[in-house]
Amino acid sequence: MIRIDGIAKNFGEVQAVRDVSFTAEDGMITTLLGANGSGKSTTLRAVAGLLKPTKGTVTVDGIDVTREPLKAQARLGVFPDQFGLYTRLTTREHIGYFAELQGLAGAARDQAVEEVTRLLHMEDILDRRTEGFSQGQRMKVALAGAIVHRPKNIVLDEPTRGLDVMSIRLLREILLSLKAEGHCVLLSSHVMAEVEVLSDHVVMVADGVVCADGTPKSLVEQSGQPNLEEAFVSLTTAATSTGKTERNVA
Amino acid sequence: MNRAIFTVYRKEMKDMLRDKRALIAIVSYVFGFPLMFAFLFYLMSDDRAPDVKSAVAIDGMAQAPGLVAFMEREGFVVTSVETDGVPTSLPTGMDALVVLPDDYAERLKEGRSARVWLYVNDTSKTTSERGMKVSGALMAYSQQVASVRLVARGVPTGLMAPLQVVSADVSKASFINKVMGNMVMLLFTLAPFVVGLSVALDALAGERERQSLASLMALPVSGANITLGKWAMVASFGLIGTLATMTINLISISFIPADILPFAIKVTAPGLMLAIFQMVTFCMFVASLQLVVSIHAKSFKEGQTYMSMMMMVPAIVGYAKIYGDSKLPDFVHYLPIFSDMESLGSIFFSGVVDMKLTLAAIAAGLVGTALCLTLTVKRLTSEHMLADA
Repeated sequence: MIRIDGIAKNFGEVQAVRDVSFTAEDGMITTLLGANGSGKSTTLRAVAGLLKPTKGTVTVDGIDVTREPLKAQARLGVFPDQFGLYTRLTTREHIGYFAELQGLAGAARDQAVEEVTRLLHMEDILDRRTEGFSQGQRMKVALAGAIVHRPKNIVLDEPTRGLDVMSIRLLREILLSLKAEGHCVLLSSHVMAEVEVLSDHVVMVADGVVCADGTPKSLVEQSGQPNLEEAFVSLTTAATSTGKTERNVA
Repeated sequence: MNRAIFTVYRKEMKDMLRDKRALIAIVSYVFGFPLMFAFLFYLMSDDRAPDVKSAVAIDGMAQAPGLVAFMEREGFVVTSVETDGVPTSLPTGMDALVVLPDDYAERLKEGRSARVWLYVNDTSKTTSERGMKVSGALMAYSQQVASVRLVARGVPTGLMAPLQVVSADVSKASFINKVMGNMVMLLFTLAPFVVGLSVALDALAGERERQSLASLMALPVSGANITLGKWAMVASFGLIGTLATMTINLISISFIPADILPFAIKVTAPGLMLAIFQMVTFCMFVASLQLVVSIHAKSFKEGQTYMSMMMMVPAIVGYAKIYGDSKLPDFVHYLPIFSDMESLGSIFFSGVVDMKLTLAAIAAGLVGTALCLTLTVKRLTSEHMLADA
C-alpha cells in the first residue's frame, strides 16, 4: 500500500506539486490522471524515492520513503517515464542485473528471470541484445526489470506512452494480472480510455493539486457528465478556474 | 566487496568489454605509441656503421696542404670540391663543406686571420654531431697554427692559454636523455586518461543520455555503491591499459640498440613492484576524476568536450616537466601527475627509488580519489540530477 499525505514539491520558485494526498491500496489499480505538467511525474518520483518532497510524507507499506529510502525501494517496482536500456546487454542479462540489485542471486535470480519472461511473453528475445528493439519490446524489458523481484507495490509513469495497440493490450493484461495477485499498482496517465478500463481508483490532478478522486464511475456521476473524459475536463476546469484547492471526494 | 558494488562492477565490465570504442582506445594507445617510438628512433638512427670516417669536402683545398694533412690525421676523409656561390646543400656523401677564401694561403703566410666558412647539416642528431666534429677539428687546427706562430716569434704558448679547462659532465642525464625519458613517463601517466575516457563517459553521462538513470536510482542501492561499482570498472580499465602500455613499451625499448637509445632503463624488480603499486593508486585517482567530469555531462558528446579540456591538464603538466623542470619550484614536484612522473622516472631511469616522491605520489592519488568520489556521489544523488533523469 502506498500512502501519500499532503506532499508538495518546489523546484526553486516553481511549485510542481502543491498538495497531493491519496492512498493506493493493495489489489487495486490506482491511476493519477492529469494533464501534462499537472504534477503526476513529480508525485511518482517522490514515491520512487528519486525526489524528496518539500513537505508531506510518502509511505510504502508503512515505510517512510524520505527516512528509509532503500527499505522502501526494496518494496517497490518502478517503471519510469523514460526507460533506457543497456543496449550491449541481452534481455536476460538486463533483467538479471535488476534482479541482483534487488537482492536476488544465483538460482533465485535465474528463476525470477524465467518467471517474468514467461509472464511478459518475451522468450523469443531473451538472449538477444536489446539494441534495435521495438518500443513494445523495450517496454517489456523495462517492465520485466521493474517487477522481476515481484514487488508488492508497482509504480508506472505513463507506461503506455509510445506503445502500439497490441503492446497496450498486453500491458493492460499484465497490470490486471498483477492486480489479481494482490499487488498495489499505481500509474499515471492522461489517456482516458486506458484509465477507464484499467482503474479501480482515479486521482485527478491539476496544477499540482488533487481536485477529485474516486472510482471512474463515481467521478462521472459526481460531475454529471456522460463519460470520464468530460468528467475530467469539468472537474479540473472547475478547480483551476476557481482556484479551489479543496478536494472533491466521490 | 559489497555485493551491490560487485554487481554494478560486473555488469559495467561486461557492458564496456562489448563497447568497440573502449577496446579501440586501449589497443590503439597500447600499440600505437611503440610504433611511433620505433619510427622516431628509426629517424634518429645512423644508417652507416659507427666506424665509418666522416667525410669533409674542401673548396680551395690546393691552398691548404697543412689543413688537409691535419684533417686526415684526425681521421677525416677529405675531398676537393668546387662551389659556386653560397651552397644550399652538402655535396653527396659529405658530412661538412669547408670553403676557403681565395687569399687563404696568403693570409696565413702573413700571419693574419683567414675567414673559413663551414657548412653543416643539422637535420638529424647524427649529421649535426658529425658537423660539430668537423668544426672542432678546424678549431684545433687553428690552435695548432697559432701555437706555431707564437713559438716562431719566441713567445711561450702558455701566454695565450692562461686557463686549461678540463670539463666533465656530472648531470644524471643529458637534455636529450631527460626529454626522451620524460616523454616515456608522460606516455605512462597519460595512459589511464586515454584508456578510461570512453568507459567513464559511458558509465555516467551515458546512463543519463540513454535515460536509464531513473530506473537505476529507483533500486534499493545507495548512490555510493553505484558510484563505487562504476569507479572500480573505470579504474580497472585504466590500470589494464596502463600496465599493458608499460609492458609493451618496455619490451619495445629493450629491442632498441643501446647506442641509439638516448636513455637507459635501469629498473629493479622491487622498483618495478613499487611502480605498479603507484600506478594502481594513480589509475584510481584518474578514474575518480573522470567520473566527476562524466557526472556533470548530460550526454556522451557533452562529456567528450569536458574530457578533452581535462586531458589538457596532464599534457600541460607533462610538457612543463619535460621542458621547464629546472624552473619549477620544489613543491610542484609533489603535486599529482608531477610526482607520478618524477617518481616513475627515478624508478625506471636511475634504478633508485625516491621514497619521498613515491609516497607523495601515492598519497596525492588516494586523497584525490576520496575527494572526487565524494563529489560524484553527492552529484549522483542530488535532486538536480534525478529531477532530469
